[in-house]
Amino acid sequence: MQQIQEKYGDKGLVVLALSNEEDELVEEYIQSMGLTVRIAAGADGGNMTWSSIPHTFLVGADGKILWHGSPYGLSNGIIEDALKGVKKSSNSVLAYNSATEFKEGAVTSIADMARQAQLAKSIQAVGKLLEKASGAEAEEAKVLQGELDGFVEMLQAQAESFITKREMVIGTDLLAEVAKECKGLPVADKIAARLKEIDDDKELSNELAADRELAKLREAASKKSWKRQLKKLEKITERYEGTGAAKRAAKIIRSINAE
Amino acid sequence: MKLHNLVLLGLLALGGTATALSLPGLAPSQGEPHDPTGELATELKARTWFNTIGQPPTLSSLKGKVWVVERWATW
Repeated sequence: MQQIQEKYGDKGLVVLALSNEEDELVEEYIQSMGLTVRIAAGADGGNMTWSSIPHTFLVGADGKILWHGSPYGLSNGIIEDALKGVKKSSNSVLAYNSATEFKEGAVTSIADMARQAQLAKSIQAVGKLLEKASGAEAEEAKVLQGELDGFVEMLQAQAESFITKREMVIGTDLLAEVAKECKGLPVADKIAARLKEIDDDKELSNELAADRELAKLREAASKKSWKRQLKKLEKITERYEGTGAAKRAAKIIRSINAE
Repeated sequence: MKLHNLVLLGLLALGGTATALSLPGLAPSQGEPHDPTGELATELKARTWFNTIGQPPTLSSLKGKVWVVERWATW
């Protein structure tokens, strides 16, 4: 799955792994293996369920199940056939796909912008549209504006949740990305203040430095192996003792030693 | 020891392999599994998504995209 994601992710393929196990077990596995694909715990795959695992399903752009079988049977040819002619949509975390079926042309165009991760442009456009729209168009624009505002709030909440768990790099990078995209909007100033607060806080900035070092090792491990990063992992546990990154590094060390 | 580990150990003891194992929760109630090829994928439900930033994967957020789902376990 990880290899498929790396090979076809930028061509628009989305890879999801579903486990029906406990969160702690799945999270530990993800961290020890350095996995980056989207993985669910406690998952129900609906009609994508089979009597044995692992089992893989390929879903086309029209939402129909095109193929299923052993993951070892999912060839590059099958994936490439499915991707043929598919309009590439953004895989950016800032992309927002509304579940609402908008009927008004102007609102639909703005929703398309949001789908292409043009978050700030779509927020500004829907605000402008609301100034002049009336009737059904105004109603739809209000719905989309509410959804976009909610999405930006959700991104900030996700970032804060990572920070709380001391996964500082993901949290602060996400805040920075939202701020950069939303430059000129009030939310960008709010996020900039929060990032400064993190920088000025001795404990949080130390957590961030530790997590940055671990992130570098994770990148190196994805190309080589965690085993080769053992000494550097040990350094993180000593230098940044007590931080979230040091605890995660210690877990990875235990997992390497257990192999 | 968790239930799935016990199932795994039991199957291995019976000469099974770890590449494809039936889980009680995933097995259909009767006969052969239902082949969903050609059907519209139904909504994914999960307690927790990891490595997920932005919209969680739903039919709506995956609209117009090609996606792969692997039913998987840590063991």
